[in-house]
Amino acid sequence: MPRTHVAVSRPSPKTRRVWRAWIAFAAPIAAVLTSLLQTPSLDARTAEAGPRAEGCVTCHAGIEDIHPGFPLSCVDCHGGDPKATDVEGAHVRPSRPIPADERVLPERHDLAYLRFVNPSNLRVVREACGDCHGTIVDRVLKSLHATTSGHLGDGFYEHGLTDSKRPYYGVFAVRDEDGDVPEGALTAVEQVPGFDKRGHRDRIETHYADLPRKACMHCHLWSEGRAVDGRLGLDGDYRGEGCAACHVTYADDGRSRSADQSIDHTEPGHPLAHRFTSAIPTDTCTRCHYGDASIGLHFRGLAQLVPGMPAGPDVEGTTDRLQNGVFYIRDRDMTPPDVHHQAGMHCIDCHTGADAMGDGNLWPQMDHAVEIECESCHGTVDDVSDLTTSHGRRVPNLHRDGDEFFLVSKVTGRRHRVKQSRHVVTPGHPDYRPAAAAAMNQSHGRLECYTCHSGWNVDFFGFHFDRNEQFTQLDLISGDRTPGRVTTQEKVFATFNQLRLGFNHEGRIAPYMVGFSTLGSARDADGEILLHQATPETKAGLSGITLVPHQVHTTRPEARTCVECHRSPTTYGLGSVNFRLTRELGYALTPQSLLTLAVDTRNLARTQPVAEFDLGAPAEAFTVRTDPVHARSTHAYVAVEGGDLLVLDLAVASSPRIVRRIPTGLLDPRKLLAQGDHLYVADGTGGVTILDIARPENPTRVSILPCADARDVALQWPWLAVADGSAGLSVFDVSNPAQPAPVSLVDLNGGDARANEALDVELFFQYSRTFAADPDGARIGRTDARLLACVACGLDGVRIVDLTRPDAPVVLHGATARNTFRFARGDVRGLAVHTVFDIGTEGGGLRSAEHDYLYVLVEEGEDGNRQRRVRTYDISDPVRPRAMPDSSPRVYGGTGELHVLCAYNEPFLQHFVVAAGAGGLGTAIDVSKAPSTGTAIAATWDGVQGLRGLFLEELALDRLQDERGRWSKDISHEDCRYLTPDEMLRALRTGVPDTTVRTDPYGFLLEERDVPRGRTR
Amino acid sequence: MLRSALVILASLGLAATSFAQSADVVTAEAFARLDRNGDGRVVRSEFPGSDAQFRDLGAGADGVVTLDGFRKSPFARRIAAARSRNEAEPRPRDDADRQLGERIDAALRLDANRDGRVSRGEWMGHESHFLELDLDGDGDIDRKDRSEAARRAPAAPDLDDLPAFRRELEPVDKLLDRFDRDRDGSLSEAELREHRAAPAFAWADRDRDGLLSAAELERLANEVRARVRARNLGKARPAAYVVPFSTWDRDNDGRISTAEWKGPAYLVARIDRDRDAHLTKDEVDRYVRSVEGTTFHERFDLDGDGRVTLEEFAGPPSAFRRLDRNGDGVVSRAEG
Repeated sequence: MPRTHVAVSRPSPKTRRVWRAWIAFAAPIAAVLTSLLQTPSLDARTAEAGPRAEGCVTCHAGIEDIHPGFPLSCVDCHGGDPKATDVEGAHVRPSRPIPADERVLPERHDLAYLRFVNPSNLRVVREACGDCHGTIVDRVLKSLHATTSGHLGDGFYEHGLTDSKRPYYGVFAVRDEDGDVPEGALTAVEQVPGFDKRGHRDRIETHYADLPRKACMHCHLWSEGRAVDGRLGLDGDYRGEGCAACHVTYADDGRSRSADQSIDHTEPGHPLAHRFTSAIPTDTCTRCHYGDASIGLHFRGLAQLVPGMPAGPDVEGTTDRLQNGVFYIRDRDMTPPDVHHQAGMHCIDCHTGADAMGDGNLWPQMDHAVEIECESCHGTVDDVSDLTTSHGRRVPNLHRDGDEFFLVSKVTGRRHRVKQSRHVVTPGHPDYRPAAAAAMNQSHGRLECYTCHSGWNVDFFGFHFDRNEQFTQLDLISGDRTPGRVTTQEKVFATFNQLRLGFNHEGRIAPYMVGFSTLGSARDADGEILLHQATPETKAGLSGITLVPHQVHTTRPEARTCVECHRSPTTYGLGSVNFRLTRELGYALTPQSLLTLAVDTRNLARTQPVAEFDLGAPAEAFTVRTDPVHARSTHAYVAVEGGDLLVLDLAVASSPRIVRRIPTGLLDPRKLLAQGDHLYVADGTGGVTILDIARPENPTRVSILPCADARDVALQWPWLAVADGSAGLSVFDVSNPAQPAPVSLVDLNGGDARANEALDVELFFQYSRTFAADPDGARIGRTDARLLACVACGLDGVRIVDLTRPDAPVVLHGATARNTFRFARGDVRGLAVHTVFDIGTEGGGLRSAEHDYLYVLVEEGEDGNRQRRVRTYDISDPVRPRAMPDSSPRVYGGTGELHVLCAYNEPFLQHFVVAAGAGGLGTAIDVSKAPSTGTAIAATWDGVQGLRGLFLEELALDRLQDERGRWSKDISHEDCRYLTPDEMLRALRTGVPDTTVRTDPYGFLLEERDVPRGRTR
Repeated sequence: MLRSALVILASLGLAATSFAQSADVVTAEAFARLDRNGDGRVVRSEFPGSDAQFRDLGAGADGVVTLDGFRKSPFARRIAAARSRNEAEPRPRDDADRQLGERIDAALRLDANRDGRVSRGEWMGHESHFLELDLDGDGDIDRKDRSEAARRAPAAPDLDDLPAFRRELEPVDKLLDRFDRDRDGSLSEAELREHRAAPAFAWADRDRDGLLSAAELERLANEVRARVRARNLGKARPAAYVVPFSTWDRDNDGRISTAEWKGPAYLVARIDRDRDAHLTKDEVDRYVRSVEGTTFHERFDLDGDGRVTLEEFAGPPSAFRRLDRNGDGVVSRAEG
């Protein structure tokens, strides 16, 4: 592909002085005049301009004067022959056919004609606009809106195609030759490369390389994007290119309302009128900033649909009309708009000209290019705003009048009062808020404002692309139709209330969001599968499924709650029970052998053992360690009778190999958990044994935690929860595994004299959810955020324990819970917790929403007729759990284990709950939709008797690092990092405001009315 | 000593009395419901059921049912058993007292300085658990506490004393129905003599009162069930269903149709890989190998060439690709 570059050089100093004088005189006048509704028609201007424009307005009578501040004729900008009397003579004709598609035309393509169509086209803008606006033109050509280098760079780094986190690809090659390249900026960008036929066909990066030119070349200033002239049905996409992309307004439907008689007013793809504007509304920005460039959606309280979600005029919580060809989520509860948008502000009221048009430097990413910050207008807790951006430039529309600060909208002219952070924390000031002052203190000085003040954070964990060589697709740069049709809009998980934090390039803690972090599938020309949900790896050897720091643009005054940072290890990337994608293999343990399973996610009943390995000793329990980057099994740890631990090498999955048998002195191994560098064994009356598996083939015991009867463990580092049989729930701090410390012990039966029966435990951090606090949605509320332990308590049923203060647990077993978790002589052996985005019903009867579910495996009934069932409970409000009606299918066999299995069967994510049965896989229940239809798929394997345990390989998409601070997921932005273990511990051990719930002496919640009712649907 | 014995006897008496009383309450409530006119007797005209059912109520020679007679009737016994079934816990809880000894044994592993005791400095668990195990309260967990735990634990039956059973026991209420001759709701050793569970009497009689209550019988039945199943689990090598192919292939077309199939119905779907309602020899062979084979190649290398192709595997292609480590389209012996 020929490389071209635009050498950006500057006019002579004398020329610059002359034109500066003109601009200084004319620009303010032009600004005022162009904002008026009544502008002089071009007829009057042509009279003044003389014979150069006469012929044009003969046909284009009524056309608006686009540049009233300075006398310009039509041909000054457009070219053509003003003396001609017919269109053939007057217009510049194309010297070659213009393709009627979305491709990016070459830089030197038919310049005269392109200038005629749009003089602000970047290919000709220097000659058309640059004479007067040379400085701005220079900047725009090097701006991110022109190069999109950051947009392109992440994917190349994530797939190991580049080793630099500083992106250097753009739409066209550009050099910065002005001799002023500040630190962090580039001297040049190269044109984005395309598919390389020499690449290995079985590698994800080979197929990824075809995506940018085919799917990512719509949103920049070198083309009009998807809204090619005349193309119908792209409401919300129609825009210009070059300077006109921003400075010329288009209607949603792309039709002209100009007074120009010659324009076809029925054909989409024309500007609203022949006018420039500098009062650029949000609607113009969102011609590009939609879809995966999602800030334009979030700002307005919109979000992309979750796959399969109904939407449209009849569906509450979604938009009523198609925009960009789709409907969006608009849910007052789930996706409230940014408070600035709510106040009537527009994008450019915050974003400066340098933000949008560049500052003359080739910045690689938004991180560096954008100069506006919250503090620019709102000041800091130490001082009020100094009216400048982070780059030291004046914020032009921000003003100070004594102690009052206000911003004048560049679009509406309205005046907006700007509260100062300093005033909010100063007692006695009218803006003082005690709660805010308590939070906005020096210890939070390293936080970005929007870390706490983002209302909601949407994360589509797992983003799937597909490339199919049975079809061709247009390469938008080369203009060639090449093999490989790509799709990039396939989302796996969807969630709206998560929070992940890390450091950004400025060394400040910011929210991290899922970026372009992909799984990839590919088929060859014969339709054979080349890749199936393959995972990328960066040159650093880490997973390319990344999150990056992000200003989400959902700013709300109602901040996140303290515990969401200070009691949630999940926030720092240690993972959760959610967002785990089941992979292709699994393992099962029988009393004599280890089975390798081929998991058929499309038809679970066809999951089958493919190999059986004789362990040579009676086996009790096991677990599997997986590699942190690709989630492939590496080793199995099997506790056998006699107290030994077998270590098996699973490098060859179909043929495991025992590498070591270690006498560990285990007494009664029940469950094993491998996480990070440690193996935790729930060893019955032997307590919990912790082994170091940093050298996986040589586990060494580091400590023994004495317990009453450890039946199961769950880890949300540093807290280890133990289902401790007759003693209830034990909580330990294992931040130092060699010296664990007891934290609390919960008697799950409270004042009842019966001994506990804690058999199974899950830990789960429940983030706050937003809801509209008034009918207009002007204010939002938040549900409580909590660290929850859900415990299967055998004959005592279920207990949910609030461990938000691990040293002061609260058992949420109020009246509603007692009534809800009521069974007929029930024996609750196992449970699982999982968050599901429930797809609503067509027609909107049941609204789409995210819920947290508890699945309970319970044996019930009279003697001689005891049945096992899986019962489902909505614990989105854990104080008031709700039983899901008609969803308690019978399951067979039963090891007491419940597993959640998430299978991405394109284009939908399916959720299953699997009850591992003694005779095989057992029963799988599809819980993708709620209320669940209780569709149970029974799967049994011949020849599997006495299943003791089941392990399914899972790719944990939200586990970014391990407990020792070793990254598993890379970060594709420079100078960004996760919190270190010490930093995490400091945050997690910080005191937080006490809750006001009342409990009895045993920690049981006394009154449900003490706990605010969170909004659930 | 005498005082302790008297206390124990009184407790046992109270326990028995309380059980009898609760059964009494149940039967009295049931009798009151039958006695429609409240005169303390139930005559035939008060009872809406059949003659046979009325006889079951324990009527005397005069055809009248009194409370005493009702208490001894089969009907009343069934009601009491049903009530205890519905209210009693379906299985015994773990014996926390018996676990004390095991826990002390486990705790002694924490004796890092090998001085024969675990001090608070060596203890990493909850303080309350330490106090729980330090039975003599001397500030250490040691062998003296272990002895004390053994002394305190209820007479723990040695599980090995339970004789082997080849099959599970009948339901408890049927046992009582058949063998409880004196209708006291429990079985004495004499009453159980003729049943195969007789050798387990001592093991089952936890409270050593010479009687097996419904709860004790339930515990025995559960233990027998668990042992029988555990013994059967995982012992035998799984065996595939034997398909006499040539016998069933009556039309000799090399396939067994669903009409020709004479085996269990569910197996057809299991064997019929291509869902054409016919079972070929190849499909049957594949089924047998999937059940009886152990290694990957035993199961899937149908043609015995040392390489398993995707066609031979016939499982999910995504799993096959994971096993095909060198990506050459086959899983060779070298790869597993």
